[in-house]
Amino acid sequence: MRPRLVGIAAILAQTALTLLIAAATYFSLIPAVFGSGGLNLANGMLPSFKQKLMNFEVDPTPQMIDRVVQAPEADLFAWKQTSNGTVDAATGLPPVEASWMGGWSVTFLNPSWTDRFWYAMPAVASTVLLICVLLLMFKMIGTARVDRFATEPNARRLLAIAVIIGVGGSVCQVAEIVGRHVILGRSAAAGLFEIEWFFSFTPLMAGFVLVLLANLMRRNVALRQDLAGLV
Amino acid sequence: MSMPEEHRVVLHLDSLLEERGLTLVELSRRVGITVANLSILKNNRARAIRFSTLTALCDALDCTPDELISLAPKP
Repeated sequence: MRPRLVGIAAILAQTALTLLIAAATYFSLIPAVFGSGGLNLANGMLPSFKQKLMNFEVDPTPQMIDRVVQAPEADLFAWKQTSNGTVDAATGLPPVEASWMGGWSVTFLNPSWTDRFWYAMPAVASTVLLICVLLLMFKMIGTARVDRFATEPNARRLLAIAVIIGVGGSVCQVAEIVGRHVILGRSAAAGLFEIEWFFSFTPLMAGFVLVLLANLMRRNVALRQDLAGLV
Repeated sequence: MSMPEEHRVVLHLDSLLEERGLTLVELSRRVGITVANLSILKNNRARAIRFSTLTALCDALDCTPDELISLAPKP
């Protein structure tokens, strides 16, 4: 590929990466940290389009199924008003809402700081890891513009990306599963619903492939060093 | 004369060029190697030399390999 075309392609790629970093920050990181559906550090001051309620998919336990069968018209989680605000009528815990849209999901209203932490931290962590990967890719593509792509520093960056995706991606999945267990276990829906979860091995496999590519790049660097100074 | 640390091979290209009355540019035209690479050889910055390059140099300079290359004594 002609050097000028490589330069133009690299500039376009870096521009795209910059936009992706901005999008990840705006649409994922900021709502998770400042939004009312996340850590709520802005205390509800963010514009409403960035906010969402704390909600995830669940499976009903046999106990829940019995309750629905015995009283299909009854309110699943009735609320009551107290001097401390709205609470779940049966447990006195913060109110929850269960809904069916092809599958059960539970919405947690007025969550505690602990619940917010467990809900938001996997999203914050995975977005931060994504931004780190995008920044590393930005740096690597920058070296392609000056025809220094297959180098030892880039091999190290590729290895770092592999570890972030493989290990980081898996840890974030586990953190999300554990977090949801904690939130549900502390809520008014505890014992009536259980977490619907799935662990994907895709991040580990992707990380493994990237480790292989990083090692290939290292071999390339070593071979070129062997040939350097050969006339 | 500086040498890469891993070997003690010395090329006597500069002295042979002077004896034959040739410039680096003319030698480059005769052997088909760039002036830049010949300069690397002349300044002993090369780490390896191809047999084809050695053959072309010996033909162009009308010399034998042992006249072109020698081994510096151990330090």
